[in-house]
Amino acid sequence: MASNRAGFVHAFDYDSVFYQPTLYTIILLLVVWEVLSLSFAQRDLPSVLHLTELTYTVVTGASEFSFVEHAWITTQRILIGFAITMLIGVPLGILMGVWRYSEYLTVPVMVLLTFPAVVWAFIFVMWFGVTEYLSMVAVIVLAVTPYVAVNIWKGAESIDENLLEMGQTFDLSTVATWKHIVVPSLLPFLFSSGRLAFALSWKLSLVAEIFGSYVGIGFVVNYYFTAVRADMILAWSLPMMFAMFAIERLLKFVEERAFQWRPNVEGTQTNIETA
Amino acid sequence: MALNQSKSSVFGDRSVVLRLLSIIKNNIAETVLPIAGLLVLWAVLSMYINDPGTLPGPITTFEQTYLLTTTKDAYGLTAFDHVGITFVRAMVASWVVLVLSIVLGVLMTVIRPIGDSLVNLLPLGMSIPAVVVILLSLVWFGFNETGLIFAVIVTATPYGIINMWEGAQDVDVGLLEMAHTFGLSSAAVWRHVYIPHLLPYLFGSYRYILGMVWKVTVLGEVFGLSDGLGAMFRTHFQFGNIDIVLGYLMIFIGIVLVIEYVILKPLEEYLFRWRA
Repeated sequence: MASNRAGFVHAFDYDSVFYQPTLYTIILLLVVWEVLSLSFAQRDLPSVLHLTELTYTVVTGASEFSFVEHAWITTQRILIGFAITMLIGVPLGILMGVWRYSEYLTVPVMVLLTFPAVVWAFIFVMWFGVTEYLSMVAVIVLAVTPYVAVNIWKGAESIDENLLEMGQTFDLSTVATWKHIVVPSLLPFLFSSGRLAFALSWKLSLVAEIFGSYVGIGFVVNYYFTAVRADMILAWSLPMMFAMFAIERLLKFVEERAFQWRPNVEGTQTNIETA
Repeated sequence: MALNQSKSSVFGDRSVVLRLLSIIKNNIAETVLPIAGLLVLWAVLSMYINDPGTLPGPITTFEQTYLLTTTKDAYGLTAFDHVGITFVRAMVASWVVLVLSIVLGVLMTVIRPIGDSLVNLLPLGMSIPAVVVILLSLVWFGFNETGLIFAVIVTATPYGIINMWEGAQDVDVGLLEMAHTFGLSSAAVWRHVYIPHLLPYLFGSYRYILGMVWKVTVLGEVFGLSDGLGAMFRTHFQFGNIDIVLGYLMIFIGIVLVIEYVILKPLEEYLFRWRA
């Protein structure tokens, strides 16, 4: 009896295999969802099992729209937007870091950051109309670039002055300075802003697709919104959401492994998420 | 306690207003000049495009802003009324988010299983797009303020909690060790270490939450309501009135900048001048 009791207590230790708070919380949330779903219609709040089935039919293409087709076009838009954003944002951030008058750039960047993404979407749809890529990519680029630039800017400002001075004292060439001091200092910021930009791109492409396209996940989700089908909105957004979450976690994992030798990067604007 | 001290000095010190004014003045040089630059750039661009239906210049846009704020629209509301409506919604939502973030952020620090589970789950919550939450919430609650505010709270709370929790993680470990050495009770540790440390974070967190809540509120209004800034953006987007959309955008940006640079930033600098 006594040993049983000891084992029971042991199960609550923090290093015990039974200490799985995340798992228990997920189970708790699913149970709460299930109980709530009992008192609502399936099309408003589907039960866990029904939602899983529904998501499965959506992904295998048995619903009105082809999931592969719409998800693929959305993915393309995200990737194109993301690539252009990084190509513009990173050099801009570095420029802001090394430029003497960069404090005068704070307010213009702040102004850009205050733009609600949906207004960008409205402006571009009014300019370009309903397009395959242009409006969506433009919204992503204009809304996300300021975030990337600000992050890289912080990184450029955090470069150790002493290292730069030492490089100068030892007559390091510009190429060598960049290779051995600037790039290694910026890499963690590059990684974290890349992750942020990717997560934002996915959210913004949804908003842009609702107003600016006849294909893509955003368009389909809005279609089911007008049809008042909460279950289909969930079934269509869940797979993409989990995929994006998995990618984000993977990037984070790689990042943590790669920069284990460094102390934590302070002051990165993690997620002033917008849309 | 830090809060009481700073509060009493706010009300007791006669030079507060002067001090606040000087902080505002220092910010103006770095604020007005770049904004003027942006306006000139915009004016040149719109003259080059030379089509007010595509890109109205700043003068046309601000005329529109003036008209919007002084004349009533079809609902009998001026732009200021719409801003007020949006503002009240954002305020209600942001205070609920703040309270939830404080409670859960503190629980995460105090009760380890809660911390360990939420730290893994909150990123999942953060990867849910606001649009999806808004659309679902409007279907569930109907096209009304309840649906809107529910959506805003669900979207913004994970960010608020993480923000508070990160603040608590940053607490000076040396101070905690010292408190432990001197056998301070946990209530005393909270009172003398955590709370003074967290207050500036609280301020920062609220700024951060408000910035997010604003945008999500407007996005929600775009989809579900007939008044408020977001609804105006949608209506005039549907009619293709780009000058009115830009006119409202100027009001939105103006308000955000005023709140940030004229109210919150000087207040923060003043309240927390005792910190390095």
